[in-house]
Amino acid sequence: MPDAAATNVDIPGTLDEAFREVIEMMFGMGIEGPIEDPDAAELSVAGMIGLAGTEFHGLLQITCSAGSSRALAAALLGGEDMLDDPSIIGDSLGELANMLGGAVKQRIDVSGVRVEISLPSVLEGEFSLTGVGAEESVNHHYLVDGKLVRVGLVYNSGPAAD
Amino acid sequence: MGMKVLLVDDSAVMRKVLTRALRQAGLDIGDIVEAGDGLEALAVLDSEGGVDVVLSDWNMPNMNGVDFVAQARAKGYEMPIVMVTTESGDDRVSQATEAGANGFIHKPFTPDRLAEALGHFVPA
Repeated sequence: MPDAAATNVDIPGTLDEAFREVIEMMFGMGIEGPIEDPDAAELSVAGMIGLAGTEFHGLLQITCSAGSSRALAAALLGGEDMLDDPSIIGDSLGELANMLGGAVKQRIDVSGVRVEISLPSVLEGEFSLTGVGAEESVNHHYLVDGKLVRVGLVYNSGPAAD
Repeated sequence: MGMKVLLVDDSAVMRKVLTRALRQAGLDIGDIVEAGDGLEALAVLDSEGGVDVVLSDWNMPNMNGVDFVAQARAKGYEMPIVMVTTESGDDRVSQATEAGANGFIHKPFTPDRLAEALGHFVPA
């Protein structure tokens, strides 16, 4: 498992703990995992947020199917009848990324390394992600209320590139 | 007549989440009004009147939450203002407190945590 020497934080463990906290506190959904060897073919929507600091930087992604993103939005807002505007489903995934970024940042801050988070973004469709200057990556897969969700972080625990 | 709450957050989703949480918190909440950033929030305070409690995000465009708190205090508004934010750390709490904030709730939060933090200012 990768280790962030600059922060002395167990990044894979931190990501797992933070995701569980957000899903359980804000979404009230059941969570299983991390699971091994999932079929990730249907993951087509991603919420992303950047983490930036002088000793740690990276990009967080939460990727799921369109159906999963709808279920997440309904859980966050209190029901399907709250999804009156199509944009609210993507915005909910962005808010999940924002809260996950905050929960990860909080744990890294405790180690004495200051990290700021960016505004969240949402991507739909096929894409490949390359973290420029990132040396490490971690991906966890979960079943959230039985639906597959991937949580990933590409990061570098050294000084940021110019 | 319940307490009038102003929610300040650039995320419409988070404003809906907070509205739902407030309605379920068992507190005496009346009208809930919204603003998408600190500038809008100041305009709401000036135009609406009668706001009893403010919940404000930190990171927003145009005017962030801490600048909003400082500006609101400079204009003489004395109602409790509670930050609801992904920001964390003693330095951030100190910064918000020095600007004039009365409370600090870290996202993610449980409904109980929200109710507890607001319970100091809003009767049940």
